[in-house]
Amino acid sequence: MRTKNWLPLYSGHPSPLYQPPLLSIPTHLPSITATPPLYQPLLPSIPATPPLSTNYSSPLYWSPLPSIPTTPPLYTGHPTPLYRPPLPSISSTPPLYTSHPSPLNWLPFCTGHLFPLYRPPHPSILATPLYWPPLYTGHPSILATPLYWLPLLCTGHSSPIVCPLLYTDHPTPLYWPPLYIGHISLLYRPHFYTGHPLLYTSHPAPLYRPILPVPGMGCDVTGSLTGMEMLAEFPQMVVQNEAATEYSGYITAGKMNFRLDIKVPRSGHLKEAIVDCDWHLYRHLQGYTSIIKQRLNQSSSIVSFLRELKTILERQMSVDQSAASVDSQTCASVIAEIETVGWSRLVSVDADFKCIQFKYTDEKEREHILNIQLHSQHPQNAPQCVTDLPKPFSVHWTQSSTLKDVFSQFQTAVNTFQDFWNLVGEVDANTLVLEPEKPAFCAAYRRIAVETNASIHVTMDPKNPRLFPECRFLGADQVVQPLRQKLNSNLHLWNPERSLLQNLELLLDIKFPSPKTSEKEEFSVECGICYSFRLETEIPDEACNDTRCRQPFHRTCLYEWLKALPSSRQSFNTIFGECPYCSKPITVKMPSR
Amino acid sequence: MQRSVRMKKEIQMLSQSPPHGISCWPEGNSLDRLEAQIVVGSGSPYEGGAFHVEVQIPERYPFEPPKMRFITPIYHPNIDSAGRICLDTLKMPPKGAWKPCLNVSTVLTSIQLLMMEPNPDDPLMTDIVSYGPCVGRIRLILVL
Repeated sequence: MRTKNWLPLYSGHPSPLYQPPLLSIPTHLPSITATPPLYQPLLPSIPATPPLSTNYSSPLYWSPLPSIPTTPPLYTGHPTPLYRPPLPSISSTPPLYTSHPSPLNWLPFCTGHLFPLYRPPHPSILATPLYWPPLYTGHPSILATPLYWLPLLCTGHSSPIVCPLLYTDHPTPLYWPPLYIGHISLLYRPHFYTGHPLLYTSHPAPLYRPILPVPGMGCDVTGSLTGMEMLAEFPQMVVQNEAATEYSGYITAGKMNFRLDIKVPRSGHLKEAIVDCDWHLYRHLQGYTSIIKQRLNQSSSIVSFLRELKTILERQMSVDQSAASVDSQTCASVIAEIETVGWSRLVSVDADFKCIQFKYTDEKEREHILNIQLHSQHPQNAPQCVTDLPKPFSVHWTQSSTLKDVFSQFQTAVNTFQDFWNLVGEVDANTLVLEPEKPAFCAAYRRIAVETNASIHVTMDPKNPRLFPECRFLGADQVVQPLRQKLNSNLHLWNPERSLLQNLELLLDIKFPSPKTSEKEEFSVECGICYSFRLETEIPDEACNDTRCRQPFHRTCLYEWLKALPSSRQSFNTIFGECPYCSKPITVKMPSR
Repeated sequence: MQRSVRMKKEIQMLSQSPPHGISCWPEGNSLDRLEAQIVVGSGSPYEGGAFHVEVQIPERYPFEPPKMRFITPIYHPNIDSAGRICLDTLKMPPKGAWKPCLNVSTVLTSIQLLMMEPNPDDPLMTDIVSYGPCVGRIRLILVL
């Protein structure tokens, strides 16, 4: 029987027995006048800046600004395949071939040509120097006077600036029509001019030819001299502008031609030049970027730079050829041997498959490196091994031995020294080891700091690390003498069961200072003479001007040093002398005091 | 003024990071007298010996080189029987090569080097130079 009949308080409640908690009746009823807040939609925020275009229907609309393209697209939509992808620059851009399947990507330059890759051989042309083929029909002036410019070429001016005025009666002399259209030998220049056929039909950039400087026409003589030099030495480099600061063409090295562009900026400094090349050349010069930059800095002209580049290239190509002579059969056998050891243990192999590095991780996670230098007659003769073991490691090698045997011998050798490294590792972790600075696995000695100005030099036998080591004390006698006496009197306490550190601490009756967690770094740079930052009130304000030295000094210190030297010179209150660190000239004024 | 500032720093450096085979400490509390010990590495006739060197810091240091003298008797063409050392970094320019960028530690290192590589062209003990080839392999027995 229910005492109270709770009615469901509101319909729709799933459980009629549920009674929601009663609300406490507020003591202060809200005044009747306060109207509940009306729903107010959020107003759109007004942009801080006024709309750009007033004639827009909505003032709040902000038209997106057109993005300005950083670089205009090159030849987009060009109908002809003359578009040339940008060449990779030597310094930064990746080689061109990464996205290109075939190295023949220069082909577009030669479209329309009958034999795009054909290059006329020199001898055949030289054999018929006087043969002048029929000129192509597209050109009015050459057609009209086919032999007109020949005499100009062979007059043999005494001046070095023999500049063939190639077709003076052409209406637009600044423009040279595409030379290669259907014609190969048009580009041939008679041999009696320089002895070289100068231009070739497969040249990618024959479309523009600047006017050559004419004697007596107020042209830049030095520029034209460079041009002549360039023609004589690098006949395949074609000048691209009037100022002769851009060249494009081929450089020949080791019977191979490499595409190359050089652009010297308007300032004329060769070191700011941009050098572009094809991927073959890029591959050969990959490791030489810094040397090329240096040569570019040092070279006086483009010709001398190209000469340097050619030397580098020829040297590198000969190196590449000799490197490629590794016998593939030997490589395969070496690889098979490496596989038996396990790829996970391999650290590195050099390009010749002569030097191999393996690593062995022992049970205490110490990594030991085994360097193997294979003999030139590898399977017959034993390889040379270099290890980081405290005792020399010699390989037992027979005719049938493989690298796996070497590695297992190394493993056994490493395991014999486990106890030694464990003992030494304890010392390294718990004491201040002054020497060696970064202990290698081979180091069998430790110089341990005992206290200020006193240390103990312990030399162990790696084969028998638990025997009493050779101990030598270093430091002031008053500190060291008691320690030495203690060691001598407690010698009988040495127990091979205990570790080296425990034994030493017991025998010397001391506790070694533990490694400091961190040394306080001083950020203020000290004076190079008095080794301090503040000398009374003075701070080091003089410094060596040499960028590699930049050693700071107090004025007082530097003045006092230079004053004492017979080699320095004084003029009024300034002393001229040499930096005590780098011996570069340095000057200092007399201190005010 | 510079001497005291610099010697404090140098002694601190010598105690915290001494050069290989060398230890150097002040004699008493004064900064002007130091004691050093040089241990010569393998391959030298002095191998295994610890040689005591007395170091005096002059008043004008570092504008003048430190004065150094062997206390342990040593048979060496560039060191005489009184322990005086013939080394250019121990002399002022123009004859010597002392510079303030050098310090006690570097000079001791160069003495250690001189012990390993004697300089017979500038001998102090001419009779030792004439025996030069014989000296090379004699292992000296020293009282430590």
